[in-house]
Amino acid sequence: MSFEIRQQDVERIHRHSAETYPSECCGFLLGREEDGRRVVLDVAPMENAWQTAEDNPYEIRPEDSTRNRSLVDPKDYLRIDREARQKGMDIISFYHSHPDHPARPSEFDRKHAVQFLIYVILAVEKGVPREMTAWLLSDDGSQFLSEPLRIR
Amino acid sequence: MGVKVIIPTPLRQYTGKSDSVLVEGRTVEEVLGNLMSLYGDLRKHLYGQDGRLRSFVNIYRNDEDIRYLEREKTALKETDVVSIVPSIAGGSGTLP
Repeated sequence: MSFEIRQQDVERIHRHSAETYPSECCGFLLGREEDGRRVVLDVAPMENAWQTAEDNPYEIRPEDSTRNRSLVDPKDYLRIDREARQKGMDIISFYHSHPDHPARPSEFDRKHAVQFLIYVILAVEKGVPREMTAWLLSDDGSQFLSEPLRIR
Repeated sequence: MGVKVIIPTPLRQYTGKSDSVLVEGRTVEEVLGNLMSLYGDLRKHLYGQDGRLRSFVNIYRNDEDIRYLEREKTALKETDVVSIVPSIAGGSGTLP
């Protein structure tokens, strides 16, 4: 599958990740699937609700915080999904940053990933955005498969 | 007619790519049950082996999370919209 994103949208994700550093940033990429291609048409930066959501269904270790975790409040998902549909788009990807960590999926990322969404991960080193990668969960959920990112 | 159920992108592969489905039912439980009768593959993504809704699956009646209503017994009218919303999270490894 090909995954296409515009340079200006990559830059928006970069800015978001620098703004929230040393916390993780997260958000959705909105777009369409056309002939097996997924094309990003808009970026929807979200609040990292790891510490503020009414419900956090994930395992929370004492050392966990927004510095190593991202969570989208389901209420925010519902709102963005609605807005996207009204504009003829869909949520096709989830992005988040890894502050001072490589742009590789963690075990937490894999374990809690959902099918279909492309997981974009951006490494941020000392506040500076670095490598960006994209991943898709395998059908059996056992691993993330690297997705080539085409930047237009 | 029926109640409109909004299917999120991660689950559309189990509904023949439909982004919404009209399903009969007067409660969330009935609507989800009828939805799963139509699309059997959805069951394991919505319910755990213990027969309970998965904790990473959120169900909304219009703008309200059914956890704060009457959960699966939450009543529905035909004008209501039910949304299935996945929990989405990520994160790097342990802090340096």
